[in-house]
Amino acid sequence: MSQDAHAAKKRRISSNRTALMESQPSFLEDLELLQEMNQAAKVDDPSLLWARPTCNKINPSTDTIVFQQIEADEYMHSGMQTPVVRFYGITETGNSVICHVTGFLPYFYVPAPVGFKIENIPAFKTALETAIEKGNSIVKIEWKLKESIFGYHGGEKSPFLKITLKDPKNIAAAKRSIERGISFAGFSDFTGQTYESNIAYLLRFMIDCRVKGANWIELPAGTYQVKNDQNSNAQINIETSYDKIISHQPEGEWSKIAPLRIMSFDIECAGRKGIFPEAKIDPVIQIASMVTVQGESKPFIRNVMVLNTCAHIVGTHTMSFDQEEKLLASWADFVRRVDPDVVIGYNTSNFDFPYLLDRAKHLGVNKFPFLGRLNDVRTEAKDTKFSSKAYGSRENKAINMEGRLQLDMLQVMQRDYKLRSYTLNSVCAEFLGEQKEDVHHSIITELQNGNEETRRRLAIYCLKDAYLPQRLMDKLMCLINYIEMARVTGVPFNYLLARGQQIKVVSQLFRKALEKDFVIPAVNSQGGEDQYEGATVIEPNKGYYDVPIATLDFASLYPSIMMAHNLCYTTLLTPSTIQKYNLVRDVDYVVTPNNDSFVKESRRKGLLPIILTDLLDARKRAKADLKKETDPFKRAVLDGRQLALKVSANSVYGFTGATVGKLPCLQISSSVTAYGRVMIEKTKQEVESRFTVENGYEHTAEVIYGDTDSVMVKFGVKELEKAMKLGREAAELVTTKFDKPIKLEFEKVYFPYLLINKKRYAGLYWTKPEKYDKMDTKGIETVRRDNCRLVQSVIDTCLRKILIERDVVGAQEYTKQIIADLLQNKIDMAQLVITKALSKTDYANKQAHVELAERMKQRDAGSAPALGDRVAYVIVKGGKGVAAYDKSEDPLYVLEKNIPIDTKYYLDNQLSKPLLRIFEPILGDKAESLLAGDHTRTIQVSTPSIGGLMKFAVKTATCLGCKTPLKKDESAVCSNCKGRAPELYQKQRNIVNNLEVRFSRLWTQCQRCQGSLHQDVLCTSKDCPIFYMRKKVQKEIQDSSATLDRFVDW
Amino acid sequence: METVGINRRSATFDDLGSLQESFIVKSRDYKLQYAHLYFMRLVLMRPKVLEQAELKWGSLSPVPKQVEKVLDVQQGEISYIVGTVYMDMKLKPNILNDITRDHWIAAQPDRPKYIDDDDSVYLEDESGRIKLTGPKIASDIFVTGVVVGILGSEDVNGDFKVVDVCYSISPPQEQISLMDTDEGDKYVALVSGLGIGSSEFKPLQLDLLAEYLTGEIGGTKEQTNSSNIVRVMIAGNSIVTPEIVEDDTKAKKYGYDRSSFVTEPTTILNNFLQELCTSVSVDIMPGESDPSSVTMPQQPIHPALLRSARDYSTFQSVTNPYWSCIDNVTILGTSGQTIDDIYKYVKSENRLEMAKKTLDWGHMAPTAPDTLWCYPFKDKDPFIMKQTPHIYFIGNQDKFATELVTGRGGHQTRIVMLPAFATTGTIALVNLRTLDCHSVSISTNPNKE
Repeated sequence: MSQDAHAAKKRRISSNRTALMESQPSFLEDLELLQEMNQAAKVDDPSLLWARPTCNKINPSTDTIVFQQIEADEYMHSGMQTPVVRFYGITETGNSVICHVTGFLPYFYVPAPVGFKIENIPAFKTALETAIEKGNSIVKIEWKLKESIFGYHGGEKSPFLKITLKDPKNIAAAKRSIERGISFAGFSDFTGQTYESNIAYLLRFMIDCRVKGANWIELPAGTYQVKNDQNSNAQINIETSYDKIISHQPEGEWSKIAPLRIMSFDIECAGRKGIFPEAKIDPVIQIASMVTVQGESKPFIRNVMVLNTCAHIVGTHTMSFDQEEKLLASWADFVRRVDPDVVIGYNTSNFDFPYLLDRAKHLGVNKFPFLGRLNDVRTEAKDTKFSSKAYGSRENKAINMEGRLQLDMLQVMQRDYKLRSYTLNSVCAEFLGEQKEDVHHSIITELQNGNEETRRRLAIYCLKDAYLPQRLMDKLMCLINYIEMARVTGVPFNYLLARGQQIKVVSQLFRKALEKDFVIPAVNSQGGEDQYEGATVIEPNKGYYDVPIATLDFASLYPSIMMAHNLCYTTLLTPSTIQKYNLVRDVDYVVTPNNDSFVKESRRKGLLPIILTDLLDARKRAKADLKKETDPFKRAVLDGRQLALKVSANSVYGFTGATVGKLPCLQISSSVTAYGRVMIEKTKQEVESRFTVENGYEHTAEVIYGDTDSVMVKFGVKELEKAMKLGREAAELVTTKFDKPIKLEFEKVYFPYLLINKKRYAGLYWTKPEKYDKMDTKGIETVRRDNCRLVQSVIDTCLRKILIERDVVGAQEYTKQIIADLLQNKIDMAQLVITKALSKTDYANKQAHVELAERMKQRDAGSAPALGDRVAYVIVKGGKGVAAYDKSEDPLYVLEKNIPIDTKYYLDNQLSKPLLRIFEPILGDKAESLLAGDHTRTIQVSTPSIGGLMKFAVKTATCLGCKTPLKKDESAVCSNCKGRAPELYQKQRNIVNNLEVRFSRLWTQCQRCQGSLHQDVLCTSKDCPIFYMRKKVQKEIQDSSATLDRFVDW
Repeated sequence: METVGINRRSATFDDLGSLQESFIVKSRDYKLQYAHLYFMRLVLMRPKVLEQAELKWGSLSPVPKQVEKVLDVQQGEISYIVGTVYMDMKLKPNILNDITRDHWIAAQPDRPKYIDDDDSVYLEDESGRIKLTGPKIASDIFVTGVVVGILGSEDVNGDFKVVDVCYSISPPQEQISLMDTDEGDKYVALVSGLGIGSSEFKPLQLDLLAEYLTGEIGGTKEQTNSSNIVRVMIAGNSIVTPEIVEDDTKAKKYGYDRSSFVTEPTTILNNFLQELCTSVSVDIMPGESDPSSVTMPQQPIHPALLRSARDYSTFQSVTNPYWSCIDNVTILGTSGQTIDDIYKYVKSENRLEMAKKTLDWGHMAPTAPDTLWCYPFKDKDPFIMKQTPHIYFIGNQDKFATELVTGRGGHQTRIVMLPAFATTGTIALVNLRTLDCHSVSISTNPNKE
């Protein structure tokens, strides 16, 4: 605004002000200020915000380029026919980079056959090229002295042939040929084990160039060229040679994270009633997207694209489209322009992306499936199968978007957290502490088919759902933790979700081997059946302990065993080696309790112990830094790192024991567990022989239980301080009995402690004598999915009463009360609901939820659960001999029709076992009495309004006092009960009042949750604990207030 | 005792049919949700707030644009909107937390206040909501459910920066000519919190109150004063049902226990009312602790419970809140829950200010249904002040306070904050001719006399 205009405006306002002086207070000044601010911040077109910050033209001779690479892939150079690695990254100023790195060629090793000379190389080369049927495919073969990682060979190196090829694809063929046998001048049918031939080219590159996952790369001025690439979306396109790049190790300054753009999105489809949306038929109607810069708390782009008109949404860029094709094309265009580095969502890999791609294909939106940084690479959904010992088998779709990381939060949840349910609802309830509104898909279509207001309402849901993955990710620090894991283990970020645990160890092992000049054999794993003995368990002395039980833990047990005893591939001895080098037992080598031999550190320090020492030292450093650091963001990075380091150290042992693995070595893994067993036993002996009355202690200690890396000791003392002191003393004592760095630590005291069985216990957890830290439970499976909520809450409450309140009698009383309530139909229905996903229709056996879905379909196909939905059911009373699967019923139907619940089922099949389990150690045989007795005598069954006899029943009003049928002129009580009328009125009044409060609280809560007071609550989230309560209270309050109204007078 | 013929004064009484009627819930339908009530409130109040907004902001230059719906607000454009306030406060009682939290943790005691640093104020309507910011928001009193107009503009974060706020125009008031009757002074006596059955309850004090109100106490002067009381209004919490203490020695009963019912407090109240009704008109409103509905508006206490008083023509069991009119003086009273709930939303301790605020807002119970339990009305909002009362009393407050306020329309209202009688022995008398108000304390402690 010009000076003059400004002054003029000021005058205008001030002239008004005099007129209004009396009635108008000082808000005019604020108003004026606001007007000026608005002028300054005016944005006409929100899509102008989409693009990245502009990037100055690069001058390769003067500009140094530094970027954080987030993803990499490889392609074959069309001219040279050699592989090129392509890094995708971001500079510190937020500009996107694609960096092509040339010149690095794949290679592998094979031991030189006996009698092989350097002169034999050309003949071998020709023979190998012939064998793989690719002329001119081998660049060179070199003679190298190397040592195999497998076994101790006196430190002697032996001759290897390093075979360098042009095309990584030919490595597998060359490997097979050599394994099958090759003949060449002087050598007939040479077969050999190949080395390092089973590692992906990209990982090979990263290992040799010391590039870690998501680390920073520097290209000094003068070492690179600008590449003119029509197919690239990046702002900076450059090319360099592999020996020119500087790869910064992610330490200190280089721990930082670039301003990554994170896009979180959600789509809505208009499904048909009762059918899960199909891309060929059902349109995509809305797509909401949020874009946030890593490290900032709010998204800087919030938009929603809507098919058909949509009323404006404040703070949101709302875009309307008259054609679905245009909507899809615009969204793809939006993705390319906003150019996110990370794309997140909930179930995007298996639903949103495949649906969008299929839909775009069906509609012929040809421009759509190019969502990556490369304009010429089509985005596709491919089926992948992922199976891992740690994570189980999963079939997924993989979506390629070159240059963008994907973090499907559903997959993250399934991998990293064990939950009762993985719906976005339950995950939000668990981690964000809030319920998510859940709108049934049939309502989605209705809202879409309404007007611009109803579509706006839908858009608001869609926006909320698009933001939740971002909030979840921020809360759980997933992105940072994954980046740190990639950096610690050195694998590309994308491997973390797509691959198992092993690859992370492989990456570290190859890196260390390269540094120490070892080569690693490419073992063809056959997945042998050999099982080795696992960890040991000291038979638990079951019971309820009302004295402190000290717990002694070996810190990082398996890693420290490997370090203490120098267990490694490189230190493994065979009897012949022992003979060959005249090694002396216990001087040069040790024999493990598993009867395997390993050389001692004095002769050679093993590679695995070195890796482990590095990891654990790095963890110590990270933890020390964490203590000092105050910046919350840097703290998060450090915490993520120390966690990644711990997980990595622990996974090394598993790697050596994975029979279907890259390099299994059961001698190592079996020895580790054998040592572990011996140590637990020895700890028990040491403790029990030292802490005795004879040695001057108050009591004789007893080890009541031990498992894997911890032992529980009853020192007999009643005071926490004493138990803690003895615990520390015992830990120190036992530590001296073992080799370094094995360390027994006193960590906590359980008091009281309920030891139910192996791997099943509960206790109050104390680390300081003043106040307990928490209640700790192991193996008490209250999170099993086919349990109803009641089981979880009853068990939980009982444990708390027993452990925290130390009120065993109270726990029994509580249990009896709950059972009484259950039998009297007083338990809230939500507590009894069991939910299961309807994942396929043709189960081999009849299952309760499938049968119910079928019955619901017959009643009303529209509202019946479709494939992929979660079916919620309760078990209702059925006639004699009715199978359990036929007794499942829709909770809403049960509420409506007053169908009696099969309370006995809940008592016998759900509650009794877990209850007996926790009460038996305390009460012994008397535990059974909890399940029978006085409290099980009063039973109340609701009168169903449908079925059987009810057709013939006639409703008569009965006296509210004594239940005798009422005469015509009596409305509430009979003449005998007249005296009790005020009391009975009061009783009914209280019932109604309680219901009124519940009604108010429940429905206002739902309004808060949906974020609107003026719109009806539509949510049908069956995972929400108040959903059924809400329905139930509506019905009950209607009935009870009708009963109350019968008290006209008395 | 000397007997002089003192007759109780009479006054005309009008129950303000339609206003009073709106509080009666005849048939209850719980299939309804609360959205209707908010919707009706907004529909009925929006024109009144707009009228005020135009008065207040219509002469600004440039004239700010009126935006129809909250979500239609455009960034960077000075405009005004009318909508319902929603307070996002994490300390509001949350039934979800109560259910999902581990059962062993004792329920959190009801908080005296819900306020917290993280609270935010939103304005919403049928379309959606927008967050309100600015110093005006921090300095003024806001509670959920008030319909307001706001002037300002949306900032880059999508929040609405508020520079000024306005409320409904003042509801109309019946014309009365104060000081202009030659009949002399007449009073209405306001009582609340008899607390019969509570630990504070003193039977003797209640007897004295009855004697005072019926004119059986003191000399001629007092008796004459008493005879000028034309009506007694009892504003809630007359009966407190004693808490049932669980008896551990008795065998636990797994079911309903009829012996927990106590009849004594009702009997005492009956006797008290009967005594009053022989001499003066009495209206009894239910309060939080009385045997009536818990949701607002509370329905009249069942007359069958007040057997001894119900047959007197002078007796009325009425709703809470309660509209009435004596000698053309319009009276609105509540048993206190409305202000108690607003109290939890604001930093201030000044309850009189809160009562004044409800007059400003033109709404006596905005926090219903959000935090004040309420029946889900479908096609009306009975809590909108359709009239500006001459007397506005709030029962069961912490202490006696009163002020004659003049509203925007020049309307005068006597606000009376009534303390509970059981704890303070205080009642209030309002002069129907002058709207003057004073308290009367009744003490059983002879030293105080």
